[in-house]
Amino acid sequence: MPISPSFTASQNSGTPNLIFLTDTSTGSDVTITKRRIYLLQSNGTYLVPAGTNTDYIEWALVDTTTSLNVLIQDTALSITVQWLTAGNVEVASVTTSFAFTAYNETFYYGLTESQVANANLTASTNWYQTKMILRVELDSAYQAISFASDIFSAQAALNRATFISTNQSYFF
Amino acid sequence: MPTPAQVLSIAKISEYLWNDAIPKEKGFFNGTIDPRKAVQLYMEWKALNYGLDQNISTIPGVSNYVFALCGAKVAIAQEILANGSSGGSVVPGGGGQGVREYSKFAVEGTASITFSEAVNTTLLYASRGGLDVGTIITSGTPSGNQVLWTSSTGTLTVASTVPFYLNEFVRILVK
Repeated sequence: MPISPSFTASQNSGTPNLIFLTDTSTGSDVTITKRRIYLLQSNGTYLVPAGTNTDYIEWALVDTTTSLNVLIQDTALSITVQWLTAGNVEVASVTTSFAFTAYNETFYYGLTESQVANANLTASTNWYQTKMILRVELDSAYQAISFASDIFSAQAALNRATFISTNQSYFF
Repeated sequence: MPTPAQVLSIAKISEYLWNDAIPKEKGFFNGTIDPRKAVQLYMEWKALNYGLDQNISTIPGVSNYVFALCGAKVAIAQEILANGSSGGSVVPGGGGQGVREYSKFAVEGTASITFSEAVNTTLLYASRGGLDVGTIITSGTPSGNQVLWTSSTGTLTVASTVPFYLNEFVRILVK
């Protein structure tokens, strides 16, 4: 059966710097000997782990899942995975866009945890107003990705969200 | 207490119920409800949703907090969650009846009570002695705090191990 390429991406709240990719392809092709990952950012450059000198990241075929230590903040990425022959001829390729939001979603969750500990926090207009803006920015990033694979708009929303979380002492 | 996953659904339902209630309150009662209620619920169930997805250890506290925020809409949200999974149909020109409430005092030592007005209806909710009953089943034999609803006769049957006490107040909602 010919290969039907696909993959998924995920992120955990405890390790927001890591992206986990899982190969969910079905079928096979005996000519495939290597697999590569391209992480395209909204500024047109490729994101790679420290020490990588190519635009792509090698993903060994024996590994169903790989973790990439590449993020320092919430980021929208267009991820391409290629399946190649030994001569670097592309056999299959899939590109999917993602919004990786674990930094700000975890921060947002922390705000709710703070409210659990001190319900009076919600009486502050600033608290709720800013938290609401943060929610809208995160939701906007998701919508930009899900409706249009628009990593530029998604990244703009995530940057605004990150501004709030990194300057939290001024807002909360 | 509902599970965090159930609270998530209850909060989503409560959000639209509050959102519907707020404008009415503004019109008729000069705005006695916190106008942020629906927005607040949306913001907090989003956090609960993330915590559930990520299996964060503090979920019970956040779940209780979100459940408390649902406030007065909890009971009806739970009813909708349990019974309202499919959309209703619109009958042109009206007709039929909506949700109805009936109550009676039970006979001591019996395990069933009949509401003749509720024949051929769906039971949405029941309480006995002011306390919610457990799962509503429509076939088989109830056990524990389960109740059996026999639509064809309008009969509510409780487990034989917990029969009604003297003049126990039984309340049902049907549609």
